[in-house]
Amino acid sequence: MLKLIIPSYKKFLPLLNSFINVSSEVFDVRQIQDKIELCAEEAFIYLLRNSYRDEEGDIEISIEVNERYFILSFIDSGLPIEIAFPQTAAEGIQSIDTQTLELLLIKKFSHMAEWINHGKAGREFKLYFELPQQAIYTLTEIEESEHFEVSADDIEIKPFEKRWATEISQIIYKAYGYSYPNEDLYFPERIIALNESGQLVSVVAYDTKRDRIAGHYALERESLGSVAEIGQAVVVPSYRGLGLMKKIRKKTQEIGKELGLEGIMSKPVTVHLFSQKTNEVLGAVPVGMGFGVSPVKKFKKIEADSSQRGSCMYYYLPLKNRKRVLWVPQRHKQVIESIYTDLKLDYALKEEDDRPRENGTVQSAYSPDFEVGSIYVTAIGEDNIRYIKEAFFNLLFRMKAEVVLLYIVMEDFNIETLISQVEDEKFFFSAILPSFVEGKDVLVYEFLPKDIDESKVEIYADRAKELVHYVSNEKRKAV
Amino acid sequence: MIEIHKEENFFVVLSQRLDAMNADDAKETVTQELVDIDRNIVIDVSGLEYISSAGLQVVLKCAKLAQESHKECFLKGAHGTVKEIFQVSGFLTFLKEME
Repeated sequence: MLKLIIPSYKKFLPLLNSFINVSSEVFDVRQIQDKIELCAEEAFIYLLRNSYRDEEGDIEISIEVNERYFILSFIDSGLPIEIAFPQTAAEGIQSIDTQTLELLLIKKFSHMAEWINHGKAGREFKLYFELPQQAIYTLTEIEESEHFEVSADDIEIKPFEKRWATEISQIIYKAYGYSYPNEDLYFPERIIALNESGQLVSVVAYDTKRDRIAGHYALERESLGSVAEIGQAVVVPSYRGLGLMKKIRKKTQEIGKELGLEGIMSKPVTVHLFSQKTNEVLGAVPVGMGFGVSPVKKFKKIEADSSQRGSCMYYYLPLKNRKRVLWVPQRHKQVIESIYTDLKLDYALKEEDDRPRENGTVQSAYSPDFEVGSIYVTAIGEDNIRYIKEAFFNLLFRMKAEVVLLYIVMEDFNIETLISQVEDEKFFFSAILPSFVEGKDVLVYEFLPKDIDESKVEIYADRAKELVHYVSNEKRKAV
Repeated sequence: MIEIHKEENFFVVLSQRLDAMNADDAKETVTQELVDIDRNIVIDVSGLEYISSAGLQVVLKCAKLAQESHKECFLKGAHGTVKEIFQVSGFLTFLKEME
């Protein structure tokens, strides 16, 4: 740990800057040096103004680096203060709050900030900066330099056991760095708890000879519904070339069937073709396209576009068939019917133009990991659009959602009017997902405030390309 | 650090660093030189390598002076982390960016 103690005067700021800059060089984090320097100044000035209020005292600054973070800490024994971070940035000149501007920048440029009270020993303002991707990459390469001969005979595909939780976290970390949006995977105890509750169903490729994990896939069932999302796919580099990805996924699908699921959906990224190809090979069907539904993150070791949000295809693998009666909007009837034909699911269309009930049901949720807002219309009613607008406003302007997805059940009532209303609000057709919400088939609509550059979207299958073309046209009409 | 030129617009040229050490002086320069605002203000940050919240307050002062005189305030040449700072702090909701 490196330490610096400076008096509580602004004139010592250059000394703090030098300390930060030299430490950044020593710990080889020059890529994020400007952000650390900025937050150091903001924290120092904030403490001078609020904790010392021009009185003399000392501030102890320390720096330490662990596997994940560069940690910058300020310990002072000035006036007790409470640090409350502003929730959002200002919008417009009148709403700029110069008193909290320092904290706003700290919030935006550090990964995490903590305020710890040490009693008589003072208070600690601790700022965490995630180590640059390159540093994680280098670390992984060192660990993976071990070479051994692998054989498919050594591998068994097995359901989750508690003892593998830490290893699952480690291989996800090695494959994705800290860029995987679902952070539960970085906490072994959460992996155990989620597997126990059934919200996560992990399947691993286990190397019996070396007692280690060679790969992982999982079903995610947050609400324990009848459709699970498949993902968290990793094969440890030393075990590539054995076809493990396909084998683990096949086993995962079998387990899904045993659990009585109606289907499995997946969202393969469109920055490369591999995951889409796996979906096609294992019988999943493209059912839509989600533009910008993934947060801006670099996929480790994969050439990816970090300048804009990521896009995903929606694939669906039916595990059960049932007869469903659907109301579909005339304007999208053709594409919806072609998707159902590909899925080989039994359906009948209803077209009566009855008036819907007065009151429907609309719910909403926000996912901070993905910065995505979701609105669910689970019962069709005349008041749907009012509640959709209310939820939409909340998600977009209060929660600052980057994308809003709207799920509309097709198995309840005529949705023709509602579809016209939501398309007037600039939502566009994105996908259909059978049995996805409360066991019912839904239409997925999307609202995308910032358009996506589609030149970087790669699509594998021809029928998927047709679907993407259709959704893209709908998007163009709306954006 | 700060230079102000009066041409077809007021050009406020910020360069190198604008932090808590020099922001007060820069603000003083703005107060003294940005008077009788009869034209738009262009804040040129193409040579600015570092800005903190103290520096942002200098920019805020320029924007407020422009607003009081019913003129526009533009931001020119923002790049890299400097641009990111203007974005996340909400300053781009009232500064118009120009190439």
